[in-house]
Amino acid sequence: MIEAAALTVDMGAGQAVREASFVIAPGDRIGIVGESGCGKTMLGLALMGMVPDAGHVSGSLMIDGIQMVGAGEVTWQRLRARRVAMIFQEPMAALNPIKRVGETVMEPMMVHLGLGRDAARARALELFREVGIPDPEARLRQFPHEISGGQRQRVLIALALACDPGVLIADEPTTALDANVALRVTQLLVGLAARRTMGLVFISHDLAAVARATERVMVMYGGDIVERGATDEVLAQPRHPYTRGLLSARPSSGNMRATGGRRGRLPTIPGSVPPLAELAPGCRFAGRCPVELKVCNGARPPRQGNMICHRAEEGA
Amino acid sequence: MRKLPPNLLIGAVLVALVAGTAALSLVWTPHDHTLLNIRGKFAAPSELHWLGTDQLGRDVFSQLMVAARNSVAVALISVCLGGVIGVALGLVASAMGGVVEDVIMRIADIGFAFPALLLAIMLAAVFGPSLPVAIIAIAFINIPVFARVTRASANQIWTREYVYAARAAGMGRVSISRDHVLPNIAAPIIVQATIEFAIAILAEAALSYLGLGAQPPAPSWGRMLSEAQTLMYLAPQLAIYPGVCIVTAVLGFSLLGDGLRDITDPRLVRQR
Amino acid sequence: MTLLSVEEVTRRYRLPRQALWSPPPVLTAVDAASFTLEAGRTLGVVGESGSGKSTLARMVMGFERPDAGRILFDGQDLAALPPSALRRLRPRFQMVFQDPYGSLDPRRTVGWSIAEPLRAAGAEERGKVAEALDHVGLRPADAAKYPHEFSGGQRQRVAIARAIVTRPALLVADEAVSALDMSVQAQILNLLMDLQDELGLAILFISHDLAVVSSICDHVLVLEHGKTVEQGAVAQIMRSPGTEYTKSLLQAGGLL
Repeated sequence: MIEAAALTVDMGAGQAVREASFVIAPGDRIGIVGESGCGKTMLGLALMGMVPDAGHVSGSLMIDGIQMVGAGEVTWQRLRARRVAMIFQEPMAALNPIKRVGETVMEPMMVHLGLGRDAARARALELFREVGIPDPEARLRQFPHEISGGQRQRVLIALALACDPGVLIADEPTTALDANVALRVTQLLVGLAARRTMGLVFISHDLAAVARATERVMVMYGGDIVERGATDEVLAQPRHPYTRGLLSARPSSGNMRATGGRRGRLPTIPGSVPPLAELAPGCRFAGRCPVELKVCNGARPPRQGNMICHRAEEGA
Repeated sequence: MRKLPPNLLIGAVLVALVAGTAALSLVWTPHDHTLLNIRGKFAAPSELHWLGTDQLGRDVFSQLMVAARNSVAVALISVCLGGVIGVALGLVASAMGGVVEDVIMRIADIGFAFPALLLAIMLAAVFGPSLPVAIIAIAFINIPVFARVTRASANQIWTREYVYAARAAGMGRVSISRDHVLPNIAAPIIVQATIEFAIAILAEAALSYLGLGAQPPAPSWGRMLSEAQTLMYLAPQLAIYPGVCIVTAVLGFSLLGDGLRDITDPRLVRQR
Repeated sequence: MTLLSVEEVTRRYRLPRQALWSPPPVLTAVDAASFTLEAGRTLGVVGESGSGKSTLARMVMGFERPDAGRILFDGQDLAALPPSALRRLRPRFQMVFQDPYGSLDPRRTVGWSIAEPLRAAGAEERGKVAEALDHVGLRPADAAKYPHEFSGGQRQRVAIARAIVTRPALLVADEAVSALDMSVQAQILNLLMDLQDELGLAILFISHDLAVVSSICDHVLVLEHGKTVEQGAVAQIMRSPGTEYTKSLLQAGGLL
């Protein structure tokens, strides 16, 4: 169980996460979407107590009733892997290339849970079966370069599950994978969350993947959670201009808009996410927003229901 | 600004000390290092002779300074010579690939396995012992070392997309090696050169100790050591001084090399 | 007019031996692929990783030679050309790579990189770099910057500027938008379409993502383990995929 209230990560140059508040209960599946540089990964790292040294975390973050803002590394170490675990985008980079994958998975169980070699091995085998790795006996003895990208990601999921975490944070877990493989890994994560009543935080820029993996979603822009709600509703009827922009910019033949006799083009969000130091002081999205008002660039937009926007009252 | 690793700083200070002394000896030494004074032999350190005199009454401090110049010069010339040839061979091997690469690297392997000392003895037997012989012997053993490091680093660069992009642009192997490969492998080569420098100083000392390098009256740390050996019980300080100099120089370059690797190797940076 | 014609092209790789005495196993990366690309049109090549699509791209670029079959660019067989003639032909066909972080030399200014194809061709540089930057929506002043000063999407724009600076007839885009955020993908895809309209480029668009391909391509070729399993108009294939494999690609892309 994770409860964040006004959780902020200040990187010195600017706030990578600004006053994020949310609750992740057992079995919840929550998506975080947004472009690169919007604070998704930083929020994930904050939940693991792994914000880089330059960052300062403030606000409140309760994990299983313990206040983790200001907690020391020792306290975090006791929580990591057992309460919250994380998997990353590049399954190759996250595995030690000179270690058999079985050893990699067994290690935390021997260290954290105090299991002996045989017990850890048996449990690793069980986990490999649970994450759908075929021929798990043989896989245990293989090296990372001997198995495919999808299988590697499954190994990392098994590794993350080794100490039965209450919440699994998956940072772009399917981005580096082929579409078919990504689909199966997503289905696996959803199944695991349900079977283990484990919380799942699914971070991705891919709206289709988030739609499949999660029941609730938070859209992040410039460190703000600009819109949130049930995944189906947000994706079917986006209200915040940024969410709308993201949805319509999905490359697909159905999204093409023809103008002036030319063949169709994709609608886009103009510009790109500015660096932290250059974020607009008021609404972070000011400057790229298609429906900007005068007030947007000066004052911080109010939180209205499920979104943070000056135009909320008009139903946008 | 990232904090510099301590080994880099200590190494840089030691190297600066040795190099500074060598440079200074070109324009100034307390005494003429060849000046004999039999009556004043084995003098204790004094205001006149800072580290005393040797068995022939020569000023030890002045000799150490000039020897530093010889050591640095031998190391510099031999490492540069070996480095230039080795890097060129490595670049060619990597750019050509296939049979050419195999041939160059097998020859490098043979050179790598060949002991420098044996080579120096052979050369000395043919041409007579001298500093140039020592330089050539040390340069020769450096060629395969640089060829290997260069080829390994260059092969990685050749698989980068920007090299494919340059090929797509129509660039030939020579221009790609010059424009993309060499600048991007400069860091590991410089690190290697620094470490090789330490080895070269040690090798020069060893060859001179055996009489295969610097010839009298040219002073050398290695030769000073071998001359002092027979006087070990009479005047142990004469062996200790050049020994300390060799250790300082070798340690300095080794630490500098390690330090440079620490700050240029992104893998090590990430682990810290 | 047919610009690129790929005829029954096959490429095999010898894998490392598994036992000392057995012959090394052979992987057929591309198996008798055939297609043609008209000037100014876009052909998509779709498949999962390991389907041979990148091998096909490298052969079209002349980086690798096919073991069988011919690749004709402007009627000339690439594999039969001597290296010097192939280099003279380079300005006419260029490539954009997947990784906008890897395809630019980190130690060179982007202006230097963009001018590289011009230098290779011995062509006049002045004004052309600025013009190419302008074409891709960057400022001429950006030429003096280094790759790390740009975002991923901007770097891909730089890579495209380099690819079009010699005014090629063919652009091979190998997973050119796969590493980008979706919102940036849309911008880059639009840019490619704009350039195609302005410069009359033909594009060979290689991707694992059928949704992306459907937005930019007229025709598509579906590869599975080196074999062509389907080929035709994009709209047609999306409406009624002919094989289970294509269907699964559509499904995975959220298109079905």
